[in-house]
Amino acid sequence: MTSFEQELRRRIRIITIYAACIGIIVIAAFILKAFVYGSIDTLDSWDIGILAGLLLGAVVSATLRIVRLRRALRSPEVMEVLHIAEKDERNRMIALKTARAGMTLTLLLLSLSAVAASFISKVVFITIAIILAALLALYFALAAYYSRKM
Amino acid sequence: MKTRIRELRKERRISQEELARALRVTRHTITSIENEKYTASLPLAYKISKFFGLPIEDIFDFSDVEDIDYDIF
Repeated sequence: MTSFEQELRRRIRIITIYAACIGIIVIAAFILKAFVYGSIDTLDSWDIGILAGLLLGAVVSATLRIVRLRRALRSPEVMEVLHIAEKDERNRMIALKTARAGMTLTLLLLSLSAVAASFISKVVFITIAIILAALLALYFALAAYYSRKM
Repeated sequence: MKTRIRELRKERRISQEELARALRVTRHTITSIENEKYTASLPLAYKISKFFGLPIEDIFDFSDVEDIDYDIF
């Protein structure tokens, strides 16, 4: 078994565990909400919609990814194409640039939203400010980690 | 960065797909290098030079090396 094949099998296990965790969290949230509100009948359509959407989204995306990985495991040609696409240096550079631009734009948009929210709602402003601070902390922590690593 | 990859490939009647398969990269990477949209890394440049049996400097034009765009955006 090649190391990439092992990697694909490991990914299938991780995706399955991830989907199962989301399922458990959603069901636990359902039970907890029903417990807090007294009965499952008191849950409004908003709660049910959000929780069911989360569950469905996790299951569908996990299934699609597992199907794709299993197809690669069954066919050496498909696995080779997937392997090349993943290791391809241009694809990696695109992913790097996309992540970098995405992070910068997220921080910029969150900053603008925080400024706008400060005129409308204190709660929303604080929420956005906390998210912004957490993202910045994560960004600098990762930058420090990779500076030390390279 | 200017390269002679397209010229060498045509001389030897090799398709982009065949070259990409031999170098274990995608065809898009070969297209981008040929169209000067992407600069190959040193390991890939080495593989390309080995594939064509020529020194790196005979395939890649390093005269405009200062102008290579390494910007992240």
